[in-house]
Amino acid sequence: MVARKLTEKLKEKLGFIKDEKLKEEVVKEIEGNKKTPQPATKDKKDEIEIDIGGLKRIEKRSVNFIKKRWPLLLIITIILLGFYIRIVGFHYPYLRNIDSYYFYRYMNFVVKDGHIPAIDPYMTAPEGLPTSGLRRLYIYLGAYSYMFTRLFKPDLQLWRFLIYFPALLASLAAIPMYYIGKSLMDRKAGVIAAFLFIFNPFNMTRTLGGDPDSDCIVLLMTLVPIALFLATQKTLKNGWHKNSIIYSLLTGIGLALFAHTWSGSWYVPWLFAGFVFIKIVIDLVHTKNLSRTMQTAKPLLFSFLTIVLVFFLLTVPFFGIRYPIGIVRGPFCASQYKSEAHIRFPNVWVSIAEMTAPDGSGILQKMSTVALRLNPYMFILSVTSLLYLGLSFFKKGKHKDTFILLFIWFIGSLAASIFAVRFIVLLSTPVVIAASILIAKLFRVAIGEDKEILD
Amino acid sequence: MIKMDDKKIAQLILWLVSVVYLYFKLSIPSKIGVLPFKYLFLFFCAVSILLIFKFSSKLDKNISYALTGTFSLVLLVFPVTRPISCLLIAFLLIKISSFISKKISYILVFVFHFLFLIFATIPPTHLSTRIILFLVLFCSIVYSFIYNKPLSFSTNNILVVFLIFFFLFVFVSPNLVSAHQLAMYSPTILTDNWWDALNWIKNNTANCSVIATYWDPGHFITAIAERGAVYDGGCQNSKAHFNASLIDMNSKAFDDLTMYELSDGQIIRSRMKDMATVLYTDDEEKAIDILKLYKGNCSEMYFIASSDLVGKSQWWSYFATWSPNTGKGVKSFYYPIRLSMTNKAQDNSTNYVYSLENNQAFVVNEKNISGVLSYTPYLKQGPAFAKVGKIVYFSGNHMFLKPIKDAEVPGMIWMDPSKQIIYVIPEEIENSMFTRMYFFNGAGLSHFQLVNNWGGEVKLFKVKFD
Repeated sequence: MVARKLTEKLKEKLGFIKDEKLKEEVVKEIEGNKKTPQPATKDKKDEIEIDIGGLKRIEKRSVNFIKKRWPLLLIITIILLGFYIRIVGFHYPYLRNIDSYYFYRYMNFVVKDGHIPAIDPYMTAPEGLPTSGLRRLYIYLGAYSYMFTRLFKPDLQLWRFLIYFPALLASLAAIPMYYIGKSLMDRKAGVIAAFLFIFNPFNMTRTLGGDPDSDCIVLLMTLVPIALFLATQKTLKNGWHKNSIIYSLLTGIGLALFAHTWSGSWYVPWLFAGFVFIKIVIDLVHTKNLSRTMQTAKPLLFSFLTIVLVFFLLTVPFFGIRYPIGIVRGPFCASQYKSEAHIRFPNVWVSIAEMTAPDGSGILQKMSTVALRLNPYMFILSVTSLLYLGLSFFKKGKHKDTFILLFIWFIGSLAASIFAVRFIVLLSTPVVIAASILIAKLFRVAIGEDKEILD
Repeated sequence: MIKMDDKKIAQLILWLVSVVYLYFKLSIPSKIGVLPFKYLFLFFCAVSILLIFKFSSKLDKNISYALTGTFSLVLLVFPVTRPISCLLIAFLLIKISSFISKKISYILVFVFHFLFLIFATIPPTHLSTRIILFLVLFCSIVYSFIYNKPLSFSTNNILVVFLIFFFLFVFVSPNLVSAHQLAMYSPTILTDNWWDALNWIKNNTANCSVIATYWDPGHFITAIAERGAVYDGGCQNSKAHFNASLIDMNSKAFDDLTMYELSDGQIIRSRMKDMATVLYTDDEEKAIDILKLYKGNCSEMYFIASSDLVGKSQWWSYFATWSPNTGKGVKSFYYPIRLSMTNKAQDNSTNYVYSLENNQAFVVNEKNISGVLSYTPYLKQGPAFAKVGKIVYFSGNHMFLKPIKDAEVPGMIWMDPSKQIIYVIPEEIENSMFTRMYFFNGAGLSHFQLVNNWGGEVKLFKVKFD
């Protein structure tokens, strides 16, 4: 039916052909083709019959779902695969690491007694160790997660649960990492960053199944406040309003939770402060008018102050009034960790392998060692990415926030890594994000989504 | 001529990055060498290639081909840049043969790579290099595909598929493989010997017992053995506080003024310095007096001498000798040296040679004198031989310590029963408490009684204060 109607329409339109021979040929051609579409019509009829069954609709919906939700599907795949790979090789009758047993013992206190004792009876024998300054979030999270899981599997032992728990936490870092990549570039960068972060061998070695050291939660909790901070920055584009207040509060809470997880968390407030400061300075250079700059920066400053306020409200009651001073002094104290001058007793930090400086005599050689340990390929990509972001920002005024944040993050953690190899784990995050941004950008240009590299 | 717009540059960078990445991922690390030299060189190569392509649009065809060809040959010299060189040659082949037929150009690329593959399979080329060459072949075909066809909508779609494939293959696969290998083969720090030892302590010692040793196994002791540890990984720098009125200040623990501080009737001591001193000192009484401070109210105390402390001697000796005046200590090392070769001397005795660098070696001469084996250790420097102070060797189930007369080199050689390894022990730690506990199983010590030994890895001593 459809084919016949088409032929008739075409015949009507053929009126403009004056050459009769040509007209005849065209008509013949159309007539000849008339038979060919017949089976197609029949097929279409069949298809319609199938569609009645709903399969076609399901297929269409599935395709639409995949088109819209492909990052979600990929992130779920990354989490599941990241979890599986971390636990697949574990076949030991005990936990992996020395510090694993520290957290095991404290979680066991909570499981058995419901709380952590005020004095640890075994550490620093025979006196025992006061536990007042302890970061408890991870311990309670682990213990309560275990007790919850035990509801479904009563014979599950704590140490066996701790084979899976760190692997799960580390894999969940894919979620905030995706949001960071997405905020700084696009969804592709988010997925790539999540993948590279979860399967980065350097991160893998620290977050394997059966090693419930704090690294797994540190990796996760570092990303949470940063993802929230980026979300806050997005809301600030429309000024200081309800959403920006909510996100600023959430960022402050995220930051406080991180502080309750790890004592080395002081560098994230510094990162935020550096971001705000540099952003204002750049605006000032651009406008050359202090009052105008401050007027524009008001939402940014309000947001930052809200974050800081919430952060201190949730940390000072637990860690004391000197905690904010500790954060301010953080970078300066870090450089004194290994000092042996003017002290009464030896400083053990000089002997801790993780606290030793990377091999090499000069800064360049040390940087090379850091790159080699981290992943040289990824390191080069991230440096190139920073160059790209810098060029894009200075030449076209694009990727301002991305460039500022990644630049501070990268330089800060690189400086820390040159000081002690332990901090390479901090560097791995900005390196992965920067590399992902470059890869995503190349994809965009290669497939024609962007016309120029500096777009 | 090729027009290099951003799209093509991006494609090319992706392709280059993929090849280089694969090369690094699959090559033997030692081949790559030390950063930053070779990586920078490689980066330079990639940039140079881009420039060549860029200039080729402005240069005469033949000149650009000649330039590319010369550069390819230069890159062919270095193993690390050979894949790039391959691709450049492939590019040239395609360009030169494109006026004949595109199909022929693909065949040429294939033949070229096939030949290179045969070349690469000749030993001792590593398997990964061969894999790389297959991948280079694949990259070349994709590359020629990109450059020989105009980018229509459909081509673009295919290109996207290729790019996704590249991403999956270049990033996903190697990362997953290395992650999987890490998970499968990463060993635990805790070993069966330690596990057994800690469980033995848990089941066979008084609940109030304190276990003293260096800080590393502290968390194992507190969590698995469920006993008090003097210090651990969470408080290596922590100080011990004692009530001065309850302590015997005349004990040897207070001989050295740098080892304690008196403040408000409290004695403050460094746990690290104390434990390091117990390991380092050759004075058993001093070791006991220090340990006495940490035993608390319990009647039992134990000390662990474990194999990991051999390698960590540089640090416990450093902390034991650390002085607040200089802010430094002196490191002492045990040198384990593996047997390199055995040879027969003219007098029919046997020489066990343990080689060092720079034409140096320790040689242990074994002589059979009327059925009794006698050992003499030497330090060989070039053609010169110098006798070493002492040697410890095993015969049957017995350990013998033999001082060497007229020795020119101080120190001691501890020869493993299998003779496969010796430990060269410098003079300053040959009588240290650790040497006597770990290497001599506590022989000659009156306050340290060997309780159990787990595979030579963990040796537990009961500390007797009486």
